[in-house]
Amino acid sequence: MEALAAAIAVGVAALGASFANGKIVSRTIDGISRQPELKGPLQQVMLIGIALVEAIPIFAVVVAFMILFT
Amino acid sequence: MSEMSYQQVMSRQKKWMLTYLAILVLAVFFTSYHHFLTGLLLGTAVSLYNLSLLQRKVRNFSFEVHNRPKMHRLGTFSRFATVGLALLIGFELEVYFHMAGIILGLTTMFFVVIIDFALYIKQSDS
Repeated sequence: MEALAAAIAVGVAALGASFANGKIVSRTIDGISRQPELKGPLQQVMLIGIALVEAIPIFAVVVAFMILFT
Repeated sequence: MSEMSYQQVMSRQKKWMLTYLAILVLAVFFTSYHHFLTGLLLGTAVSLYNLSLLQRKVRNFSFEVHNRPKMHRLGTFSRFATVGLALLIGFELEVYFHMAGIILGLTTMFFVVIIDFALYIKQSDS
């Protein structure tokens, strides 16, 4: 049961992260294709967006490991 | 802001993290909270690796978008794997590394990114 709980936690978190990362990256590609001179600011915003989006799935990975090993 | 500015952002964020790591190393040696601080040190070291990995992937990704049609990945699974590795080390060597410290250290990169963005956003507008 613990393995199932850990798998569900990580799986759902990865799903959320992938959807959010996909939106961020697609908007960034749109922006770079429309205005290549704004590549720098768009890179920075993409970095911040991806870092923040992956914070919650990392907590889910932590919870999954704690379920498995405690 | 140009590619050089993104380089500056990358190096600035790494400097913040390395300064914090240096303070933690000193704190481990000169305070009595060894157990918690070694966990924090491990978590922060892994967080620094994750941050540098993410920065490189974003830089290479935008280069690929601009110059070549072939797309690469963003390395999400690699970051999750390093977090898992840090947690496994914490579970195996619980005598040396405090789990709460490791988990807190893993979140360092998010604070660094947010604080760096908040401090230097006015600079980028001018």
